[in-house]
Amino acid sequence: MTAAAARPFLNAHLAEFGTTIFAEMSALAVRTGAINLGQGFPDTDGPESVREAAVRALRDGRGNQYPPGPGVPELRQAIAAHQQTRYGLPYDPDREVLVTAGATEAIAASLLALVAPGDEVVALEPYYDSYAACIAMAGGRRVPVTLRPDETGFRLDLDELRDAITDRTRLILLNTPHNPTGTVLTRAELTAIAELAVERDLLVITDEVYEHLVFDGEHIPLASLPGMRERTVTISSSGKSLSFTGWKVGWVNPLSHTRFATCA
Amino acid sequence: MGDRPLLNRRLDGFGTTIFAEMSALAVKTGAINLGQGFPDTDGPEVVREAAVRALRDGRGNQYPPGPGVPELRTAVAEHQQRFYRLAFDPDTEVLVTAGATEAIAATMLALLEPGDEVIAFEPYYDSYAATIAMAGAHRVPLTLRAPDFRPDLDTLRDAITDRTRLLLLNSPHNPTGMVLTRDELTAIAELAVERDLIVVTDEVYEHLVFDGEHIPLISLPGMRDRTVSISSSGKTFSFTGWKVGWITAAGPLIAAIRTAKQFLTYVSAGPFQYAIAEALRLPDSYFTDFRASLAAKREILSDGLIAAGFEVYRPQGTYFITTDVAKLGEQDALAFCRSLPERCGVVAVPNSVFYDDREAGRSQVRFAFCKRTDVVEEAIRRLSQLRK
Repeated sequence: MTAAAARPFLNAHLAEFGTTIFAEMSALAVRTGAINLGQGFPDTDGPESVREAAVRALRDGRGNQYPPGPGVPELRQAIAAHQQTRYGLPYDPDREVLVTAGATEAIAASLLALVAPGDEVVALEPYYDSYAACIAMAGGRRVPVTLRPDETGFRLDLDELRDAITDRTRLILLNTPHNPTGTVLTRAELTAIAELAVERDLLVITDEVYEHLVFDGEHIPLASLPGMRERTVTISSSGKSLSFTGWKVGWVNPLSHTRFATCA
Repeated sequence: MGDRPLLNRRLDGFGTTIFAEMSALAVKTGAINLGQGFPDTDGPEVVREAAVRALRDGRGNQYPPGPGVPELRTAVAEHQQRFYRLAFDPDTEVLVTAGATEAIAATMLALLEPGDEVIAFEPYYDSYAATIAMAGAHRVPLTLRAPDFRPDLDTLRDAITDRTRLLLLNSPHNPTGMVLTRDELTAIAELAVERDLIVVTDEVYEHLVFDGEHIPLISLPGMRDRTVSISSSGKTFSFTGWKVGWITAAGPLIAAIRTAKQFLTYVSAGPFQYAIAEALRLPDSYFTDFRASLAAKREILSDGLIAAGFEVYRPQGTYFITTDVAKLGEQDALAFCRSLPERCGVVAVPNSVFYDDREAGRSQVRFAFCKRTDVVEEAIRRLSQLRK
């Protein structure tokens, strides 16, 4: 006898990640008819002009067959233009933009490509559950740095972050604006993180899917800070900004000319 | 960072796929691309318009449920019943994925532990090897050899060890076009039961069998609870860009795979899920006519390749033909494919890169025939210049 009977189907890395809390709570909402403020998707679709652009693409036969692996050139150029116009960040649409199935795939592919078994990944907690699962799939170990509330909201303790970094740290995984606390990292905080990343020679992955939903202060991409362009993997997506979460169009601006292996 | 390469060791060697290289060559040279397997004509208008209706009605524009929309899961279950007399519970035994590619990745990342062995046919689709590596497992190839590419069942038996976790099968088989027979499937099933193995079957070409029939392994005795059956809509309905795939399997296997899947893409293709639900309910005539049109193209391309001097291994299924170029005086399939666009304006893919045993496929080249008839004919005309 070999594997199947003697062993659970799910491997040990993923054993703690059964069903997400979102699935459980959304099922509860359906069963009870309760108003669902649990899961973060809008109940109103995005602009009609965007929806009709999708209809035109379908009818014109654009994208109905495999698009190029890195994404269609039109979208890659639009993403590069967005980064340039909004943040003054230049990216080469041919080599520095990768289109993904939402930010979730972008995070999974980034972690599965960059993290080797035994590596440590420092991540802010509370965290989006896919971070922990993807670190586990890559055989890495997550090291949480806890955001704790004070009178200004949930702030990052930079000393705690510094202490969390060891010789085995491969990368820091940030999320700003931060889900679920709504914390937006300030320029001072980002500068301190950037200095730490440069000093300790670390990669940083930033999940910026709420970049257009900052109400107080401003969104500053970490990649725009000194020394960070070549060590930051910037992730964003269209779902939150354009209110079409079901389309799952995300993207990655990797550090200069990195080749990524996409996983799905 | 330091001096360490960015890409981790597990994925070393999987940098750029041959498809990316050859498709870039096709674009650069303006050659006819018979390399990558996607059609140059979209699928049925009714299916496309079903997607338009879903978009405009606001169905699928926001996150669909993690396992897929109920309409599609029900349609997949009905499809399995209609074509194979297989009963699946749409709520617990069907999982919608971002194409078969995500289905395979999620399956490997869920079921494998580091150090496990996976036995897979070679030549193999390159994502098999990559996702096995991502899971930290080892692939053990079972080489399919020309001219008929039948699996050697004694070799399969010998390849199984105490570390073997699963068999990864693909029938109809890309790139060789081999379709497993009932006898072969029965022998594989007996082996899987005897050695208590999980079997993952990639059946994306299930509706493109020209000789014989497609038999899902999961329909055989003892296999219902140990088979992960993977298929997708891309090949069957000619909308490869929509990336709607699915897994049918017993509830405990689906639950395990869903755990990995939810962290790879979470969900995908909202409005297209509704459209494919309608596509799966198209009348039998759609499936019959689609197969007949590809069968006709198989004849055109294989006759043309024979006339052009290729040795042709006639496929029983899929929309690919594997050839041998040794008769043309060529020994190295990769070098041949790299020079082919310049020499005669056609792109093909070398099978050799899909083997660990490179000798076994050294001079094999794959051509796709899922293209318009006039395109296939023009490609043949160009290829016939090779010997002149």
